Amino acid sequence: MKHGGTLDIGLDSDPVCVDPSQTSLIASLEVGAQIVNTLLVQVPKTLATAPGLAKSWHANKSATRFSFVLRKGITFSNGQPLDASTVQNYFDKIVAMGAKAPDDHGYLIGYKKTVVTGKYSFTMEFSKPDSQLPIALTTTSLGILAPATMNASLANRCAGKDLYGTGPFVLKSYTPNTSVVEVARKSYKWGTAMGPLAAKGHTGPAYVKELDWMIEPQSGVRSGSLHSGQTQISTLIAPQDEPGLEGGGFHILSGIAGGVPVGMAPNMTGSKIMKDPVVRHAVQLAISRPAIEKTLSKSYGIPSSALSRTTIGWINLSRYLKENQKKADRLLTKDGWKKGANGIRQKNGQPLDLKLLDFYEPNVYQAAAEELRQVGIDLQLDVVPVAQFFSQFPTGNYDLVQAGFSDQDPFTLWKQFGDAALGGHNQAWLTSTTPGAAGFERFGRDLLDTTVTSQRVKFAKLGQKVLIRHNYYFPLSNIAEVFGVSNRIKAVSLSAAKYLDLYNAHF
Amino acid sequence: MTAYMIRRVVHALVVLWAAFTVTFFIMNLTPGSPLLSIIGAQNISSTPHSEIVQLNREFGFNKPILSRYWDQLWALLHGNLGIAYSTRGPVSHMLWQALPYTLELALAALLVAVVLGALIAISAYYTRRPWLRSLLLVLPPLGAGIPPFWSGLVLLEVVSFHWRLLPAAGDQGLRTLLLPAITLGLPLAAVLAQVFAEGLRNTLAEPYVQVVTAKGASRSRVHFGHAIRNASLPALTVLGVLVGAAFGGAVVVEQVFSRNGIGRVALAAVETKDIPVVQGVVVLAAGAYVIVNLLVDLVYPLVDPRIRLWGKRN
Repeated sequence: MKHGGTLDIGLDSDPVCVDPSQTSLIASLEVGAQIVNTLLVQVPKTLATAPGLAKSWHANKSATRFSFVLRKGITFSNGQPLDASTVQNYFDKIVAMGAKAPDDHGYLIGYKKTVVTGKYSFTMEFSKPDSQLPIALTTTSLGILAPATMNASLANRCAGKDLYGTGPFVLKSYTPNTSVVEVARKSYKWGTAMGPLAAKGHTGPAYVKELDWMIEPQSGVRSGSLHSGQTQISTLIAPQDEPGLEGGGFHILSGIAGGVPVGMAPNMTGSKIMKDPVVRHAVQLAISRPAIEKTLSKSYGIPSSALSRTTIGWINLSRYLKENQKKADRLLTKDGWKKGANGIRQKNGQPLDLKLLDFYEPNVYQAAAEELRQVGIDLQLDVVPVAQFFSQFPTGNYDLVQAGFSDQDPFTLWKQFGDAALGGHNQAWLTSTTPGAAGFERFGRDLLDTTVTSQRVKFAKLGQKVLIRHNYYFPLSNIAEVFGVSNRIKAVSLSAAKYLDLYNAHF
Repeated sequence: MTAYMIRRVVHALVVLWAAFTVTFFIMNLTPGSPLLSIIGAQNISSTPHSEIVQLNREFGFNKPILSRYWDQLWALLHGNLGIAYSTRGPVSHMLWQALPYTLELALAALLVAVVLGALIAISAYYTRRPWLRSLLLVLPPLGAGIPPFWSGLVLLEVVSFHWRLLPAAGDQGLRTLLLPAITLGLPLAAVLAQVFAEGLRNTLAEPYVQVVTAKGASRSRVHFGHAIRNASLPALTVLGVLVGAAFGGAVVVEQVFSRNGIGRVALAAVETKDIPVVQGVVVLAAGAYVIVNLLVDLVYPLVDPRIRLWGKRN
């Protein structure tokens, strides 16, 4: 395999903070994923959890005690060795950061302590069940950082100073709004920690010498840079730029993110219209998901449940999500909704217009609005800035609200739709009296309580069935990560969480 | 002189205070939690209440708005702009890092504007060919109408992606400065050319020009020795305003050309409601504006000795 060369990558936004533990921005985690290793890894194809920095692990059935044995001979890029006490220090500090470790603290709720049981073995203890932990430990935001990093100031770590991981690349510099430079670590020899697929017999240093991430916020600039050879990989290729990158020395590398697809959740508490099961059913039937996919690209695929098919526990419920506008028309007419002169239905003088609160992907919702109009439903988009969205969300002053979140663990369904007791957003405003809601909450708790995969899959499936059968969620489009890649660079792949895996990449 | 300077400094301080105050209340009274940029949009609802309370206390959001206002104003008077929510570091450091890039861009754009603007205006009135004059005078309104967003993308497409002469992004000194400077400079040049041409037209119609011409001065002597200097006063006034426009335009140009700078910092801060950063940017921009306008005022008497900024008032 040819070693050497600098890989130039067009990155769609400024990482702002390059410490993967302090951010939830995809751009930061994309850069951060290269410099850390995680205790466990998720195999992209099977979604199974496999050894990473930990060569083995064991969980008790009630998901409150997790024991790990680390690989030996691993060091951080500042030379500090990885052992049980450095991992203990890492978790204690992460939990102490609270909400300042934004993605992590949700995974570690109930964390009591880490007990060092040997130089390379330790046990994490929780006061309440946390069966998401194994999958959580595969995410970049829980990539293990050196003691020197965990003792440094949060600001310094954000700026890329004192930031040391055990990954195949080392952060060399971060210039805000301009670039991030990472160099291959010469002494790297634990490629097995990258997971069984990433390693494939390659355990030494990464093949490319350097990663130059150029921050290019404009999608046209990213595709232009790629076409003109100024970069070899580009993140976040816009649907309109995809056709130009298929063939001619380039290809599209894409993956559908795990988690909840982009869609709409009805307000089951504040919206009188949405509480009507007939209207919800008609909304579900009126939407043609293939038509929405056409407005994007085939990288996005068609959602088939309240979880995407790249999430553990996904169940194919596409039979409930097939477009049938004739049936929707029939249901609404029978329910007393008559079409007015403007084509919008009315009942007792009340028009069938639905207000959707939204801050992202307006094109997807626009496409859904066009579908709904066909059956006489007027979907009005209330697109607000992100900061405003989170102040308007709790008011409940809307019929529908956008949802969608990428996460690898099926419990994410309850983070989005579960109630506050489960740490959820309750996007659909389900209450104890909403049909099926009590069962949904119970499945969430059961899922969190067990580490047995077959049980977790069972509860995840039951949860999806409640949401889709009662039409408490209208999935519209998958969340896809779409990269443009020059054919000059070989063996670029995506991790299970759809971040670039550049360990095997070579010219 | 002293009285004049004191007046100007007081004026400057009032402008800075007003800019700070207006931004403070706009940013704090519009809906949306500033915690967003600290814990991330998707994590807001799942963050335990105790954590929110602690963050609110740490950043002072639990205090009444007026008390926060006085605290921040007091800190500002001591040169302290606060801590950015997004990077956890001092705002002053963030601005200090970005400022050289924007200054470099704004100065280069102004240079483009002055050279190009003067060239068009002077050529239009120096030429003896009416068709050329008409052609040159059509250019400025045309240039002022082209949005930098569009011209920037066209320049990138042609020069960087098609001809591959210059890089599209990154920081490689002059090679990455040229295209953004032209993009930002073009509309400024258009405004400058328009004002300067108008000044030249008026000046050349003045009686003293006829006198000078009658005395036998050559065409170039009339233009370069007399008219240009007199016609440049309105252009100089406009130049002060253009500095503000250059800063404003930098927001767009920095985004298109993937450059670091105050504009990029400001845009990100507004999007995520990173209030201390937005305030820092506004205070900085207001400060720059005040200083440039003061400089323009001080340069006036050098160009036109009839103007005196200070002296006896009747």
